Amino acid sequence: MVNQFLAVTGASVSVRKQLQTWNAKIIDYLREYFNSDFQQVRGTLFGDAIAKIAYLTETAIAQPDSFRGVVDLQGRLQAAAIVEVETDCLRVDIFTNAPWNVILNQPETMKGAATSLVESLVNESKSKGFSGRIKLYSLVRATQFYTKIGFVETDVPGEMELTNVAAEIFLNRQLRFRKTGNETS
Amino acid sequence: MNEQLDQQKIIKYQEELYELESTALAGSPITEAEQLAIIKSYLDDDFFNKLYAKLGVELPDPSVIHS
Repeated sequence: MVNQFLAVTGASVSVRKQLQTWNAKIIDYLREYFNSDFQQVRGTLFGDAIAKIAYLTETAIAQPDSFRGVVDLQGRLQAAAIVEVETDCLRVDIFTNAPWNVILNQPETMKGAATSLVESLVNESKSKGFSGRIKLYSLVRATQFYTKIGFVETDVPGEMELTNVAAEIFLNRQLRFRKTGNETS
Repeated sequence: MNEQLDQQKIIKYQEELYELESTALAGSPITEAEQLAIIKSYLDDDFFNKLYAKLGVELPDPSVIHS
């Protein structure tokens, strides 16, 4: 069965409560998996995620309209982003998973959230007249994920772009996967 | 037959994509010192008080949030 998610726009009170839960989970995981030793976290994927979640939380409070996310059917925020509308594309300023989708095998861990959020952002880009175009700065360790979706590197170091053609291919693939997944479940 | 192969390809692609999902982080790069400062802030005793004040939400029951 394919996991289902609902898109969320704007940092409502409900979203802010979810972000509070994310931040509390970070502390739980720091204690449980890193012995509350920040030196053990440096340079890890979780360390990168903490920094992104901290910036995302700050920005969601300061600019609530820029917040985008996906929640599962239990209402848990599973992935989130901060976006900006540029003249020719949707720019993703921050993109991150929920802490339990970084430190895996937690009760709240859910596959498909990050992919679903990208899909939602592509649809938003289309609805704004950008034909699905998205730009973002990928972390080095995330390049494979974005390349798999169809993003390509631009001339700007670290920047990746999903072209309108790649966006259509991605959306079509997602549609077919949902059809296939639901048929085989 | 072709349709079945096509479905297998789509499922394989999606499985590979999901394997990479945990790494899906994006945003402007920061220095290691900045990252360390952020991580350290989470270990401060008054982190939650600052966070709740910023988020503007009610203080939760600590037994719930740390369950």
